[in-house]
Amino acid sequence: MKAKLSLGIMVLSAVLAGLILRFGFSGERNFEDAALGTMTVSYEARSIDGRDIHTTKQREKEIAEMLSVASDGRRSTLILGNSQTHSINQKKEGEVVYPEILDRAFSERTVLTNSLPNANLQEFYLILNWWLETVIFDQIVVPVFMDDLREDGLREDFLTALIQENFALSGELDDFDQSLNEQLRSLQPQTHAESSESSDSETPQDFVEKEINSWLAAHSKTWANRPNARGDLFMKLYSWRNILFNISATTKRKMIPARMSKNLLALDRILERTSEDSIDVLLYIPPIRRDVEVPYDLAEYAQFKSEVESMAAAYSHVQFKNWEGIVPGELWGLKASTNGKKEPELDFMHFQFKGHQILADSILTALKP
Amino acid sequence: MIFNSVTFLIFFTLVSLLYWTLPSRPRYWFLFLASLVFYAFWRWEYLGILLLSAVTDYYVARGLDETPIEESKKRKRLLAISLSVNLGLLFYFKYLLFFTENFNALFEWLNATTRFPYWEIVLPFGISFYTFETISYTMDVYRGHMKAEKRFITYGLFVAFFPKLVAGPIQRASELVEQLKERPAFHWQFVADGIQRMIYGLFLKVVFADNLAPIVDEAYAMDPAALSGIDVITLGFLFGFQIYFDFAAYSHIALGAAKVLGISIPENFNFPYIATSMKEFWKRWHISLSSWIRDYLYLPLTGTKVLVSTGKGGIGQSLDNEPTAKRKNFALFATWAIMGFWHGANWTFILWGLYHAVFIFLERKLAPVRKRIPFLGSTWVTWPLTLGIAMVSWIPFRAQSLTDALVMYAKILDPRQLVGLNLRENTYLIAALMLIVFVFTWAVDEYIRPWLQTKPRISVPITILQYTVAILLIFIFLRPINQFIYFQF
Repeated sequence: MKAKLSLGIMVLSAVLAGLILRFGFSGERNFEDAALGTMTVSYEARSIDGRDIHTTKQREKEIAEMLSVASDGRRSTLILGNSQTHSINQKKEGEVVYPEILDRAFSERTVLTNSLPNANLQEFYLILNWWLETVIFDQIVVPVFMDDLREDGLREDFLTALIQENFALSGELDDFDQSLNEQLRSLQPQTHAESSESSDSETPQDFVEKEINSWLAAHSKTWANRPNARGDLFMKLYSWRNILFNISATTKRKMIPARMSKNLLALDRILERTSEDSIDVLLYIPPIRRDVEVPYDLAEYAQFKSEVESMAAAYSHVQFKNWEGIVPGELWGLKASTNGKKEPELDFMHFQFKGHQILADSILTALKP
Repeated sequence: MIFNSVTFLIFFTLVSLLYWTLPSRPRYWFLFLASLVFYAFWRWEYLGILLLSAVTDYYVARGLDETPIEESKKRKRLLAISLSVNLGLLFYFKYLLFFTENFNALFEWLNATTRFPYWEIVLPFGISFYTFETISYTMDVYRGHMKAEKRFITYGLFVAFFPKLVAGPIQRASELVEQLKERPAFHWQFVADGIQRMIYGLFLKVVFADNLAPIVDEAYAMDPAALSGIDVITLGFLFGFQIYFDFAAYSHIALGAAKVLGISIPENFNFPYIATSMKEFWKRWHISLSSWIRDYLYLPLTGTKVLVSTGKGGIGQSLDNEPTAKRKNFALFATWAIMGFWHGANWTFILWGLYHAVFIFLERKLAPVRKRIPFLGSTWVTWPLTLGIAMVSWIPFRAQSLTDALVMYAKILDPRQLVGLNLRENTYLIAALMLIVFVFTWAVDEYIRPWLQTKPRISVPITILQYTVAILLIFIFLRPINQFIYFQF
């Protein structure tokens, strides 16, 4: 192809790409909400005086407010959770999540919550240890989801405070702890963008790149919108994968043995740590939709429940509850299809406000006032 | 400076504009200074090492040129100066920590109290590449394959030329110096061809390599004991694709950037995973390194006299005299162990090198069998076999330790641990998808592109579509979040 034709084609392509970027991608959006589907929204609990008592992304302001609430002199409970904890299906005005209901119900107790979507128990273990550095809890609530045992790795978006503070597990560390510390370290800013050979200091390239990017983001909406465009693309890929393999919410998810063992090991560490600090633990199998067949291999699901129960039985400070069936079918909902079909899919994870009330009542009866 | 950054794109645009605007005499000085600025964007303090290596070989080569062949002792002494400086720099910056660790471990095992101190040493980017280039230059002058370059700027630019400075291709002086002497005039074709290559390279890096990186990192962070043989093979494929997209991307951008400036750099990759033997694989993968190793290490170890210096080919070029089988085998294993060690100061890299030596050795030994049974030599047998062997070779290259690598290999070899899926479903899907993408791209390049070139009415809209998608995705994904993997070598 002749030079000028080639260059013309590239210029035209660049213009077309620019137009697609300008008009083909959505503006700012919350991908967490997009992942939840249009019928479910996220909500973080607040104290009666309007302060933050619940965090999902560990934003600085939230953590500061939570620490101020914890210093009020009352006893404190920590709830760990996943998106079930911070989402309400078909939410109406004034409806709240179970941590807020619990906080209102206790007069002499503060309930702090740290939940993160698709949480894994390794993240719970680190988050618990991080909270214990600054707050004295006398009880914690830990739901163990079968789905979450399929997860692995640490995510910087949800461990913001740990990363910013260069948190690391301390004391006698075995391989498991060291590997978690390693993973955390790799997320920390001074090593994140560098190879193992580079020094810790910022290079001229880092500095210039940061400045140029900030300038571009401030002066070009299209540039600033790049993270949303990336998110949009990944959502589309996810959807295409589901269409191609006919995956829906009811598709059976297989347990991943190596991840399950790693997460159960993290759970054991949580129970050990709370035992050392004399913290009571409420460990429960969370509610799941039971009016249809669960999206798991039934034998694997039974094995999962029995393993969690037997781990709890090994510790005297742990109370185990199986609450898988406490929220009736009509209190669950639907979510937008993730595989290109018109009909919405069943939502197995997120229930309506009344479900939150039922779960809060169950927790209330199990916990000390 | 890394290619997948806005900083580089701005830097490169300015350098190209100024380069072609300047008269031809100061042009190379400008390019030399721009190359030093490019390097200084990482750490300016390390420019001294680059210049030390360059200046040493400049004067050594001049000295060799002025010394008659009859004075072989003096010539050898001069060569020794070059090798000592370059290999000394490599040893200090790249291997000292490795030897300290290993000697200290040995002392501990022997219950000796002696310990070597650990020094904090930062590996200068590109040191393995530019030292190999300066060594090859001096060797070529020593062997009489070329005359020493008298103008420092021409020689200095051969060493510091920024497109290939940090991660190759490892260029031969004869190839670059001749082009620089010709002083090419501006041509729009340079710009068109160069930008096309750069777009292709950036696309491979930011769309494929950078998005594969977190998946690979997560998978390799798992406890190897918890993996099955199938998982290990999948990890081999995944990293095999990541490193290919990453390194081939760098080479494409380097070739493209050089082309815009009117300079040709030899190809470094040619669809390596299409190879039907390991020998062929190394004629398609990191071609500039394999040909360097052939000319300056393997052939001398076999006792063969090297008659020409060229960056083309790969291990296995025909020899001018046939060494004994024993010597050839020794050279093969020694070369590969060193090749592995060149990649990194760790036993895992040596294992990786020896793995390749074993399979190339087996290929040589089994060649008569393949000739007797034609089915064994058919592409349908040799391609999947070679692909599997090449992909599984990446396990020690990426594993955290030698123990991890051996545990992972044991999983493949133990039939009881072969089956089982312990990675996320997406991991297997992505590995399969990457294989399809690779084979499809090769098929398009091999069969569809030549046909399209004869049909401009179809090829123009397809090319527009292709570049629109590529530019769009580069714009969305361009972030200097991951350095090129080969920067660390």
